[in-house]
Amino acid sequence: MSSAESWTIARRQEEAPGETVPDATGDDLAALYDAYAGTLYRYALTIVGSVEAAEDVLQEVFVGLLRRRGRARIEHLREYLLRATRNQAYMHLRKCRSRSRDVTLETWVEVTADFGQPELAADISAALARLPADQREVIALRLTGELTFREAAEVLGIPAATAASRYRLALSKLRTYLTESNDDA
Amino acid sequence: MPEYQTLSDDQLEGAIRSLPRREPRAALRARVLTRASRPRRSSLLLRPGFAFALLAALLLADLAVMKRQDALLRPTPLAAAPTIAPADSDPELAAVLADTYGAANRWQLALSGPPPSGDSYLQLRRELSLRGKG
Repeated sequence: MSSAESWTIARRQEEAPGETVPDATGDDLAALYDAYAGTLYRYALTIVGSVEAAEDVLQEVFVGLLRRRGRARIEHLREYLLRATRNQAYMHLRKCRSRSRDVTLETWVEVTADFGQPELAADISAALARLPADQREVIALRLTGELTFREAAEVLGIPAATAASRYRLALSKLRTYLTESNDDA
Repeated sequence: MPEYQTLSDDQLEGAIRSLPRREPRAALRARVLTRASRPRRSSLLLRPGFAFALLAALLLADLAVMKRQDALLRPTPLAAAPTIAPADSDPELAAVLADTYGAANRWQLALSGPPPSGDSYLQLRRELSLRGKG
């Protein structure tokens, strides 16, 4: 069992009263970071739309996790961390309300020349940035976090059916935006 | 140029999944892990010595306030019995007046000291009654 798996902390203390986990060592945390940082970072980026802000959010999530050391067990650690990321990201957005709405959102898609289809990457990144935030979130959870609809719904705090319909709607909109970009070109 | 119109949902999902993804900078990993290795700073209020010092300071302050209030509330005893002017001409009146002042002083002393017992109260009442001052 990996350190990340062994360091399970109860998501709700009442579910496992009295159960605590030992303090995580530096190695435990490094394993946790390596296992989840990428997914959490891309999810944060989906919400805040800025590389720097997403890194700040990620750091806050891990600092928050450290504060919980030895306090209580967390089950479903990935969903717990994603929810913490979501909370931190929206907290960050509330703090930065003054940010201009005209700024183009950065997405998790890395547009590089090394990738065989840089045009595809650029088009999809631009289309993702145009999606409404709630639809962008469910796309990120499904396609970069590889969550099921049920898991994504738990992170978002909505019914699974709502998450699924939101996802289908997002895919449909993405196709429309991509077609529009194709026509413009 | 890709034909997006003809993409099915599965193909679109596949295309999105295949894209290169951003990763957090390596420096961030180092920053998070460094912060994790730092010992947690305990809050000043949670330090054990601080709690005892705070409690002792509060008790001393309370004691000082109580002493000050005691000093302010303690009544000053009446002055000693004045010289009775008509004592030479009227010895009987002088004796009555001296007794009256003496009784008043005893009352005052009894009130400024610890509460009088029932016995001392009755004794004073009896004395005053006997002398027709009660």
